[in-house]
Amino acid sequence: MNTRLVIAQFDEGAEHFDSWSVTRDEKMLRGLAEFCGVTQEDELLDVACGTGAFALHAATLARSVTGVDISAGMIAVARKNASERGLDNARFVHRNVENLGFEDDTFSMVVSRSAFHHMARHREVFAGMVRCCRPGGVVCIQDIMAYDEEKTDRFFERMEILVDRSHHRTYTKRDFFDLYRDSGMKLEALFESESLLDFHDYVGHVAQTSEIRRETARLLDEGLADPDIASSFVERDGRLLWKRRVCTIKGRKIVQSRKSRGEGN
Amino acid sequence: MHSDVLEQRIRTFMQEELLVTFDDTVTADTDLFREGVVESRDYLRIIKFLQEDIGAAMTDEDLFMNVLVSLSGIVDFVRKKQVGI
Repeated sequence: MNTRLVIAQFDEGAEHFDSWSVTRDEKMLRGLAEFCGVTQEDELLDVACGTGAFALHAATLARSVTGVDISAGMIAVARKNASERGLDNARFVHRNVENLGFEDDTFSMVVSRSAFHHMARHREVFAGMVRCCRPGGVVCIQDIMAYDEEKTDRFFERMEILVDRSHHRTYTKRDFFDLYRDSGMKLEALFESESLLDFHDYVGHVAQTSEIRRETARLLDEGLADPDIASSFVERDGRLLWKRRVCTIKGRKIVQSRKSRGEGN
Repeated sequence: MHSDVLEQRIRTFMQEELLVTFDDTVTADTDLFREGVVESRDYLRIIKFLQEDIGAAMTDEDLFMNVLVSLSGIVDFVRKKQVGI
């Protein structure tokens, strides 16, 4: 994966991404904030915040919110959204999340939503999230989760990479669990859920060439012809919905952070 | 705690605190989260209830298994904890 191409895709697609139904899913945003337990006392960091959907929702609940993203285009839209909503307790920083750069123990809550599948160096990113979190603070990740069945998982990884060139890998529940276990966090909850994603809406959330659209349609036909794969789709009201598993995991930092532990190496 | 008493206590918690109505559609085996009967915040309430009110200690691996999604799954989990499985 070429990072510059990924950034270019995010920059070009920022406005479109911002208006995508999944980005603005109020129920998901509210559910994540409740799961994290955001309060008026919180100083929250949103890692790989995109156009700031969760950060801005959290800003209505928390004392302050900082969003960080690798895409200048995404950050520009996030700042515009904050300004339009009059949320002066939200700030957005254009930066590679592999090097968060904040002081140790800065935030009471560190969250990342729907972003880890873009990250090749997810362990470094997580180490940075833990480092920036105060002892006693919360670190929470919500992201799509790999399927248990290898064939199904392999098929949907092919689909993801075809549709979204910024996709790196869908991590397993065990991958997320191990991040917390290996970092000495106190695991508080791991919640699995299933979202129904409008497949064609998903394909359209990124600008696609006609060649990619043809290849996507061909791969979809291949999947629908296989009962093991087709069971991950459901038709409803003329829409093809993709059953996408989501992992939400939350832990509390109980150890004293150590400077630069594992981040950005 | 006798298993029938345990099941009734957990059922009552889910009915009164999570506002779950058990009927022909929503049964003891229904995955309440998948079916949208309850939301993610309720998962935290279930964990808190089991730890603080029932006294079921939860390990990280218990949390990993994610069995606390139906009445029957929760009751089975607590029973196994009580007999030390």
